[in-house]
Amino acid sequence: MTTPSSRLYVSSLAGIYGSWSPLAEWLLRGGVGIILLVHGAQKFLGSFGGAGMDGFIGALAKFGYPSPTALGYFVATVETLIGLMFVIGFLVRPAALALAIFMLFAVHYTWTTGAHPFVWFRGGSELSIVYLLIGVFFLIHGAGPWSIDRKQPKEF
Amino acid sequence: MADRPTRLIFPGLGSLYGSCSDYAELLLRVVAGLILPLLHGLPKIGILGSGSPAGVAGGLEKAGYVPGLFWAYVIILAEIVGGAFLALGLFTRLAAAVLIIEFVNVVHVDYAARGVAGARYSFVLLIIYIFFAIRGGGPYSLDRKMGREF
Repeated sequence: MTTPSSRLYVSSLAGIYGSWSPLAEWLLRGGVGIILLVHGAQKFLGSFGGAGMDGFIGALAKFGYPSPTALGYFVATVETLIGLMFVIGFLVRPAALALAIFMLFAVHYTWTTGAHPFVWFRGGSELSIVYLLIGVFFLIHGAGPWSIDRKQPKEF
Repeated sequence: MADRPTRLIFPGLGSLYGSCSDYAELLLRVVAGLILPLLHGLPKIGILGSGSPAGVAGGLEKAGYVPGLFWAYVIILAEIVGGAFLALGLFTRLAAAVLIIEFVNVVHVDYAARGVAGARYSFVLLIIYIFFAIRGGGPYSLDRKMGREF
């Protein structure tokens, strides 16, 4: 991140912006990763007020997805893996691609079933849309400096 | 972007990543900004929704924000103006800073009322606003067009 200090109203902030930029990327990636782990735990363990596997599989079946049991375990497993990979910054681009694809389905689901097409606390799609864009961002941007990916000789 | 890695498994993707990265950041900023006025700020004054400042004030007073009507208008102003400015990339870092202050409180209230599950959305928005408070509006912003920014 190069922010020429001559452009800043408070030029002494340039150093902070530059040195904190990796922190900003890591915070966004890690924070979303942790929330995805929460989503996984809501499904697998029923924790954080989640519906548990039975509830999730039931919702998939009611919506008309084929083989909801296998699909439910697949989604919950991949969601948890994406969360883990985001937190540690490992294979972030493939994980972000998977997140974006999952969230296309999530947007469709919440858009259709919610009491409001967008508003989250009425079951709408806004959080899924935000996740989708975060997935697109990290798919293109990559993991950033504070990641295992950056320590590897190669990355996607 | 400064340090674009030249060690991609598919080197051909490098130019795609490079040319689209700023657009992806723009898209995230515009949507994370517009969500606030369109889905939250304006509905609180009865536009695109059926809320009212008095209704918002009631919930705020229960959460301990007294006088509720004052804080309701503060939140409505922050969401409409702050969200729009973030989307436009105008005074991006100031708008993000205002929204960070709001959303630290939103996360706190949501968590107290409904735990982790209730606070997860406001938490995700909070870290997006922290992201833009540090990184600024980027190349596709009014800040950049004006040539000066915070």
